[in-house]
Amino acid sequence: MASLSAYLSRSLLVVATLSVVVLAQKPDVIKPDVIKPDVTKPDIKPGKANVTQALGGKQQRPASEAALFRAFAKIKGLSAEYTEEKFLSLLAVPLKSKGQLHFMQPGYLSRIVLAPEKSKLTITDAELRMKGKDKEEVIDLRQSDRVRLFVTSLIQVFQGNQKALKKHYRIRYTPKAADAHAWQLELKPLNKPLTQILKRLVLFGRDKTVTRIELHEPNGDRTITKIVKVDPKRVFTGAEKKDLFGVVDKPKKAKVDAGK
Amino acid sequence: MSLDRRALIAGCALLAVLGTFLAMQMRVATDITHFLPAGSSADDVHLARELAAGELSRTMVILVDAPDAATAADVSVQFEAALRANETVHQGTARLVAGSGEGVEDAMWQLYAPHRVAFLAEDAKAAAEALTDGALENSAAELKRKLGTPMSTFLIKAAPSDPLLILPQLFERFMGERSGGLKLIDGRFVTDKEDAAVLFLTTSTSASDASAIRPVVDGMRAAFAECNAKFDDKLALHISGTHLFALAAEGSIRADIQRVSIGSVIGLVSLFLIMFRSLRLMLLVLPILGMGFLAGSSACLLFFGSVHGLTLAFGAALIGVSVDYGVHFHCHHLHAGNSGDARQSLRSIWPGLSLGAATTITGFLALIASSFPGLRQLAVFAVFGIAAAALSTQLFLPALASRTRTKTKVSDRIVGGLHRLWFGERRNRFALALPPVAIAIIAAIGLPQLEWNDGLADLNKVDPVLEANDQAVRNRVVRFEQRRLVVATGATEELALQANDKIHRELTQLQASGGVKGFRGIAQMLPSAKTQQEVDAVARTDAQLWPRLERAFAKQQFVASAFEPWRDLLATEAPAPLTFAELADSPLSAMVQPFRFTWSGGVGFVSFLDELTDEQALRDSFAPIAGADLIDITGTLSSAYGAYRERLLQLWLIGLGAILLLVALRHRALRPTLTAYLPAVLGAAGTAGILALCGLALNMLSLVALLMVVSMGVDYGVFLAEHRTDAKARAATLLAVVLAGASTMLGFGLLALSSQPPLFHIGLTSAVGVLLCLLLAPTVCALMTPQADATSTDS
Repeated sequence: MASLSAYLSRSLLVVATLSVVVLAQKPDVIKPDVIKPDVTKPDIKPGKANVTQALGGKQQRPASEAALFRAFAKIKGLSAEYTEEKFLSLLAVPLKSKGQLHFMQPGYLSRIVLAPEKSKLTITDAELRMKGKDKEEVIDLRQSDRVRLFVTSLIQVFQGNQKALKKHYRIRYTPKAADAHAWQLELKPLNKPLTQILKRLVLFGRDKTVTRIELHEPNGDRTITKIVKVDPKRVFTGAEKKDLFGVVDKPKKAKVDAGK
Repeated sequence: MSLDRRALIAGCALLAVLGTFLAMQMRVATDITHFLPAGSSADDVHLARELAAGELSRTMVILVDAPDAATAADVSVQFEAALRANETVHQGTARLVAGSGEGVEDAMWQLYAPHRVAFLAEDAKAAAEALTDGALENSAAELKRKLGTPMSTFLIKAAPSDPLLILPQLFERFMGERSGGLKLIDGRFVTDKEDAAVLFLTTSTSASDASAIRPVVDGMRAAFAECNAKFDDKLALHISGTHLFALAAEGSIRADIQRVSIGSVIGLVSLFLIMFRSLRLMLLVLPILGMGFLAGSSACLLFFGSVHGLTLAFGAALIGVSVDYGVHFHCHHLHAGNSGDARQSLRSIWPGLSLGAATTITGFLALIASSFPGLRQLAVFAVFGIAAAALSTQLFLPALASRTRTKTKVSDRIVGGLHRLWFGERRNRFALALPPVAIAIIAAIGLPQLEWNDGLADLNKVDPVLEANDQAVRNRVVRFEQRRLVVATGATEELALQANDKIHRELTQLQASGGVKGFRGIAQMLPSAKTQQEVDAVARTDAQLWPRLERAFAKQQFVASAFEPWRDLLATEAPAPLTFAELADSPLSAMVQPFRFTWSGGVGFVSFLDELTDEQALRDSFAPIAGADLIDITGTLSSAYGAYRERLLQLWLIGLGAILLLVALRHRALRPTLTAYLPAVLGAAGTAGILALCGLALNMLSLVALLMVVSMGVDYGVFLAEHRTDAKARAATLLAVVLAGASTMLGFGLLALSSQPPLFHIGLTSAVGVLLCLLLAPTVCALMTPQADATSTDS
């Protein structure tokens, strides 16, 4: 005699139900006295010509959106350090954290938080795994389209999956006129439910490297992630793949001795 | 027109009427609850019976193997659509669940958000602990931690009116009792290993009602074939559920009925041809058999609305009993030297025949007082069947009897031989006494070794392949016990939920101490109204809660004013508690319905257990909780069988006493009374002794069979006692008894070949018993007949 109770992972149900909250409510009015002003460097330096030139050196700013995504798609592995500030209406001061980011094709992202409290976040196409000091939560992304769409957006950027992103976002690539190496990639969601979850996702970069990611929410909250010490040619060992992404390399087939 | 002819026409007309009635109204049931005891409303037996026959048992688990999760989800959609489109499946289905359903997430929010204060904690004490200064500070720290994750987007909207994250924690709590074995992929159930789609189908009729279930299962297979074609026939279907066992049992019972019927007829025809070189006896016997069978079945339909398959099988075996009347008449008509016509022959045997029928009916009347619906039906079948068969002899026998009275050499020789054997001049009384003495000794040795097996499981023979397949499906999906269930009952739903709240606390403690691996119930999703109100009051009546919360959250650098929606919520009046009806009327229905049941005592809620290792501790903890119980369905019903078997034994002994009284009133003398009665009683005791010495444990159905043995054994004794002083009549009766015994043994012997335990027990016990009665009846008659009487009219 079977129980008919549905299985829903704890975390997924929490997240999915809360996503209903998000979608059911109107966006809050931005409260300017709560949001701290962005004090990062201005994007445009006055007087710089907006020239895109092919550099003779190793790095070159992609000429177009398509070129940028092609460049991303060529990245097999990437590691970087980051610092992050979250400006939330609920908090009087921004939430700060720092740590490491790792990315491996075809779509594994791992974020290791080193401060203020150690934790690890791993995203694949199937799940989001959050491991803290005391517990681990796993969200099966196949169980909710809403959550999957939101979570995998950034991965699709690193994958260079322009086609998938265009289904849900209006994408605008803007090379910076004042700086021949700087560019900006803005993703604006086209339809619900993404329009109710985020207002826009902006990536800033130099040449073929992402230097900053800004996530803006409809209620005015934003998250700014600065990426430094980037290694775009990172090769992960088997042990690192397992530790960072939970990926176990398949054993190589034994070579057949042609002589026998 | 002669009296005999008019009687014959009347008899045929009656057969036609009964046959037509049966053809139009016949409904065969195979519901095992017919053989479950009907207890009082207040005891475990009734609960166990309700649970064994309730919705839980009506639910099938369906697996469709698929190569991967995405395909499994797709298969689930296609197969569900095919099932819903199939008319027979649709008609026989109460509920079909294949996924979380549309709107489950929305429904959860809509139903629980307004009541979130009442779901702050499991009870008032836990709620108070959750609202201490330290707990509030921990809540603030936890919220801040969660806001630092990518999921902050989803929390940020809910937090202002739920800073303690009551709803996320609530959903974590009641989903924390993992159902195990299932995942959701694209909203569809798949196995943990993502290798099969999972669907749950609850039928609208009992799982044991094979005639209602067969079209549903056939429809399921047809729907699967349609779906499988879309996937290049690469899928595999697996079904778990009581339904399949019922179908297999029904098929087996039908085969048994057919075998017994055909075998009995062939055997009888052969016997009569050998004995009389004529099928005249078949002509005499068949309408009586038909009348008995039709009358018994019709009576069951009138009283019960249906006839159980086992009753029909028993009825087929009853053929052997009502054949006796025709056989007795025919043997007397040919061999008793009666110079009158057929009706005169009938008159000469009518006292014995009617007394035999009356004693048989008296024996079965005792079963009507039984608490088992199935046994009551058996009794009704037997009483009306035997009575109709006996009375129908007056309609059929005179008109159908042989006019020429031609005896065959074979029958003549057998008559002579039998008479010489028991009543001849050279008979040795010492040798005659041996069989009854031997049987008495066997009974004396065997009866003390008699063992009873009241196990419910032993009433069903389960195909091991079917059982293995069933278990394989359950192992992939269900991790909870099926045999033992925790129930919370009450006269009202609220009382049942209050008991359930307490049960939940005890189970939680037992889980913490390792006495149970896990459990699943409804308490987290639906505490009682009392608990909801108490928890809600802890928060709403705490005037200092808001200032304390402000301080705690300010310490974590939250903007306290952001949580004013929470403050405003606490200031409003508490809503009415969440009810089961609201949940059942929402997309969450499939999540809550399996836990609730109704019974004559009121309402109940079930909790499922995963590996209960300390049953005694659980029972001890339930002792002070009104309405809390651990039901071992099989154990409870088996114990009930034992109790009812003892009761049946008492009724059986009362029946024996009533039979003795009838016989004694008829003869008013010791010798004929003993002649009529002793063979049956000794035969029954000897049967029980033999079976015990062979290591066979008896059960309640064996008692029913022994009752039949006594009834038939008394018939032989009664016939012989009636004609003990007339040599020719006695000789004819001897032949009749031997023929009747042989035909009865044939019927029950064929029944003993059944693979169904109930039919096997009835068949074996009856066949052995009739054989002993057949041996004892003439022996006792010979011993009770003085030598002078035995040989003075010796032919």
